[in-house]
Amino acid sequence: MYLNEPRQLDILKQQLRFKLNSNASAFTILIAFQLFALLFSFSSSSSSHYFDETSYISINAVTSTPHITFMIAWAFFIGVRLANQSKWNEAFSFVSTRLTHHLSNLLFMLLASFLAGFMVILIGPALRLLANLRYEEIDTLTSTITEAPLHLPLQFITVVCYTLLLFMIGYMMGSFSQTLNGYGGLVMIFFLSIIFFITFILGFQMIGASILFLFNESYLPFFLIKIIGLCTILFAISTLVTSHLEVRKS
Amino acid sequence: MMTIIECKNVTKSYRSKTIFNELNFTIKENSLTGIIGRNGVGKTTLMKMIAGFVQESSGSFEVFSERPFNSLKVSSNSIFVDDLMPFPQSMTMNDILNECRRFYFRWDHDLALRLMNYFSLHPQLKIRVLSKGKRSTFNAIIGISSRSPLTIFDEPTTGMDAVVRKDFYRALLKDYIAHPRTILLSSHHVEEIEHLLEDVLLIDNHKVLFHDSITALQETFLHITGKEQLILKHISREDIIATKETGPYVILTVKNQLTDDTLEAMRKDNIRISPISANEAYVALTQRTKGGIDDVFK
Repeated sequence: MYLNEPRQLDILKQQLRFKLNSNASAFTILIAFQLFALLFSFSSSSSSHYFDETSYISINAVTSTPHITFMIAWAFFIGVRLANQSKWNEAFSFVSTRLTHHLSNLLFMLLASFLAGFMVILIGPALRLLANLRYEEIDTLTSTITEAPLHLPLQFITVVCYTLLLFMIGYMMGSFSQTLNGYGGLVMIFFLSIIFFITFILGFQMIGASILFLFNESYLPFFLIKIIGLCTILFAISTLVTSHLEVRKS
Repeated sequence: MMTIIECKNVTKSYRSKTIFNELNFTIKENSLTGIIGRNGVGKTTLMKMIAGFVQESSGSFEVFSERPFNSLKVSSNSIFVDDLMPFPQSMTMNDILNECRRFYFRWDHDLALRLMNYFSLHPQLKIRVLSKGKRSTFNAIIGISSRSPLTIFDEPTTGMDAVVRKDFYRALLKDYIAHPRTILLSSHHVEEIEHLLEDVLLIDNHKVLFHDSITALQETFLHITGKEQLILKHISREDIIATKETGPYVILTVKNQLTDDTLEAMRKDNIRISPISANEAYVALTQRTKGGIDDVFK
């Protein structure tokens, strides 16, 4: 009898492919979320100004903010779902270790974040086109690619980073809820308690300053370092809390 | 012969509940071993420990000379099949077979497709639409076609009808003869699997109660048929494990510890001595001393 001596890298690749196949519905949900966000993009704010009985100006604001909000909500939801018990059990129906399972999930979340970034980049021109079709005259507040060529990659990187961060937060919450036998509600209460406790000790200004320090960064390399650092910490916590978790127990 | 599984003083407990206490056994390569025992003795837990899904509480536990929990080598060279194999509900059977082809290095795709065809399973159907029996059949096909060096079947026939169960065991035996590997098989229906097992690992009361060949299990007990008063002239009541009345005669199950002289004397008194089946031996070994179900209604 001969035995297989697999390399972690090979199994990692196979697991990633399996996860892309088995989580294809996540991308369908993303498209559904973005279509739903269109409703909010065109109805977020509108105002009418009357000059007299016959003439008035109607101003409608079309924004891509709902798309980013829905993207972030999607990333959080999929992050939690990737870490839940049924997804764990699915991965262990085939060849896997805890390490290859986590790393393949990380790669999946990275790929999904890049896809989300591309989608948001495409949504800007799509909204302009739809606004042109719907309204008589439009005034674009954001710059076009010819006006500010660096704006687009910056927008892309920012969306990828925030999506990945929300993936990681969801993934960590999902991992915690799994270790506590599905007491997800308790985990949420625990996290909220910690946030309230820190807020109480440090004060709102301190919390606000911390958030600004993390997210209000104008220099791109520093912003990337902060996001990568935070994602690494969240991923390490998720890996550690589930490192001894038993699978397919029931 | 290479040792595949080595279990030394292994204990498994969940908080205050002990599943196994000081479990000891070894399983050699290329053998077909039945893991049998009453409900709740820990057969599934033991098989999941072997597959590396569940970790032991203490003791030394090795599969392919490695601790199985979280071992890539064990995961890569083994497959755990039960009726609840958690495949993604959105995938078709064909998708899953293709995943298996990439993950299992000895996977026989042609055999899988032929078995799918034989058992009338349409590859384009999604997993979620399958009935319990069809789902078990599909999982069993994966177990056979994977040809993993260590193939673990935990109650694989749950939900299958009698004909499919019979065909599955036949397919398993034929493939095992053609491609020997180490197979562990548990079932509630010992009478259905005893003809294909080579060895038996019987777990009872947190320990290994019996681990030997299937013939050794059958030889542990004897059936003695005749008039009770005549039989009791040769053996004492303490030797009797079980009694069954059939008209004027009784069939007694006794431990096979009788001397040749005693056996010869019984034969002369027209007492029939016969071997018992592995299932009957298993029942005799695991039956409770407090009495049977009839005692509940007394």
